[in-house]
Amino acid sequence: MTELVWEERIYAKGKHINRYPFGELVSLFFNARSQLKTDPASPKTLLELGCGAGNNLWFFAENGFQCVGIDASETACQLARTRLQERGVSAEVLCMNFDELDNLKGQFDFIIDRAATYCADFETRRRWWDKALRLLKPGGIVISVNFDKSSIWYQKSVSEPGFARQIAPDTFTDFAYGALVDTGVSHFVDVDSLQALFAELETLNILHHQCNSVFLAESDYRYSELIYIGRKYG
Amino acid sequence: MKAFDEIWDSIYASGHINRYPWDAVVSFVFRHYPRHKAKSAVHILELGCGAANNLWFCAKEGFQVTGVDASEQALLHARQRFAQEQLNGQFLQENFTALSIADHSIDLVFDRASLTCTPYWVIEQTIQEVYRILQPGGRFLFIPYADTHSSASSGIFDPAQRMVTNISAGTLVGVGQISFISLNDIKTLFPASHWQFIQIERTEHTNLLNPQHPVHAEYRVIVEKKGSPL
Repeated sequence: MTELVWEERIYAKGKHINRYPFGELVSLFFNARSQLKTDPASPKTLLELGCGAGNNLWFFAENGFQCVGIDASETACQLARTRLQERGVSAEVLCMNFDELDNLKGQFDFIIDRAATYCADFETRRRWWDKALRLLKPGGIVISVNFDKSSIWYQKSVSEPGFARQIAPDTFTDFAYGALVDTGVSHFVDVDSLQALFAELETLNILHHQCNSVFLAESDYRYSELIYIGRKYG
Repeated sequence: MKAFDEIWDSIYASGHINRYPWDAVVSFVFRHYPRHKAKSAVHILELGCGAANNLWFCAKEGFQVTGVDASEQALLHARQRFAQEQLNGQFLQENFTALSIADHSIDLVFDRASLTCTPYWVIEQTIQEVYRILQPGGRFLFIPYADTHSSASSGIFDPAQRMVTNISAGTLVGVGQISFISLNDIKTLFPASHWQFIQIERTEHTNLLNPQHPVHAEYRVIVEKKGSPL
C-alpha cells in the first residue's frame, strides 16, 4: 500500500519534510483564483489531497481560505499541524486515505492534488476523484499535478528490463533507482488520459512542466509533469 | 540598454509584490549552506532581491541576509516587510557590478532572474563581483532565462548588448529588456580556472492548451568558487 510506504519509509524517517509551498503551486493558485465561479457570498474553502507536512496548506490558509488537508500518514499529519501552528494559521488536518473521502463533509472552492493521487492506477484514481468531485462546489476548481509519460522514469519503466514492475496500464512500482525509489506506486498520464480522468470538468488549462539536468555532478535531477486545471460546471 | 531598466521601479510601484520564496531558492539554501557554522553566522546575499520574498524565507530560517536591488520601490517594500515581521536584514540600493561588500565575506549568493534583465556585459562583470565577495567554497545559484524561451524569438535582438527588447509573445511581455542565455554562455561565464559546476538544470513550462505551445524556460546553475574555505 502506497500510504504505508509514505508513512514508514518517508515521513517517519524525516524525508520530504517540506517547509515552504511549491513555487508552481503558488503561481497556479493565484492565477486560478480569478477563474473561480463559485458563489462569492459563501466562505472560501480549500481541500488538499495528500497535504504531507503542510507546506502548501499554511500558504492557502494565510491567503484567506478555510482549509482541510488530508493525508494517510499520521506522521505527516502531526508535522502539518505543528507547521500550521508555527505560521500562526489554522486549518483542519485529517488522517485518512482517499477511499475514505466518502466520510468527508463540506463543499470546497478548490481541490488541490500536488502529485498525491498519482499513486494508484487509473481505475482507482477515477474512483477517488468520483468521491472528491462530489465535494467540489459548482464553479470550483481542481489543480492536479501528475507525472507524465515523457518522463525519463516512465521511459525507463517501459524500456529497461528490471527497472520497475508494472501492475496496471501505465502504472508501475518497485523502481530500481532514481527519483521514484521507495515511493510506492506511480501512474503516468498523457493529455488524453488526464482529460478522461477529469471528464466531468471544464478544462481550463493543461501545462507541461519539466526539468532536466544538463550537467551531472552531485545529482541527476529530472521531472516531467502534466498539470491539469479544471472547473466544475454549473 | 541600461544596467538597470527603470521599468522595474514602476512594476514594483504598481504592486508586483511577491510574498513567497521561489522553491528553487529554498532548495538551494537548504542543500548548500555550510554546515560547519551556526546558521546565524551564514551570510546569504541576493542580487535583485525585489520585495525580499526569498530573503524573508532566509531570515525566517535564521540566516544573516543582505539584499541588493537598484529599485528604490522594491527596497521600500522589502524594508517594510522585515520591519513588520521583526526580521534583521541589510538592503543596499547598488549596482551589481560594484557592491560595497567585503572580499570573501559571503557564503551563498543567489540571483533569481534578475541578472537576466541586464545586458550581457553586466552579467559578466557581476559574476566577477560575485567571485570577489564569495568565500572560497561558497556557492552561487544563477537563474537566467534560457534561449529556448518562446519570448526569446518574439522581440528585437540587439547584437551589441545581446539583449531582446519589445517582446511581443510568451510569458515575458511587459518586463523590458532580457538577456537569454545558452548552455554555451554558461560554460563561458564560469571559467574552470575560477569555478566548479555543481549543477546545471533547465526547467521548461509549456502551455499545451495554447495552440502555439509557448515555452517558459530557465536555467538553474549552481557553481562553487574554487579554493579551500578561509
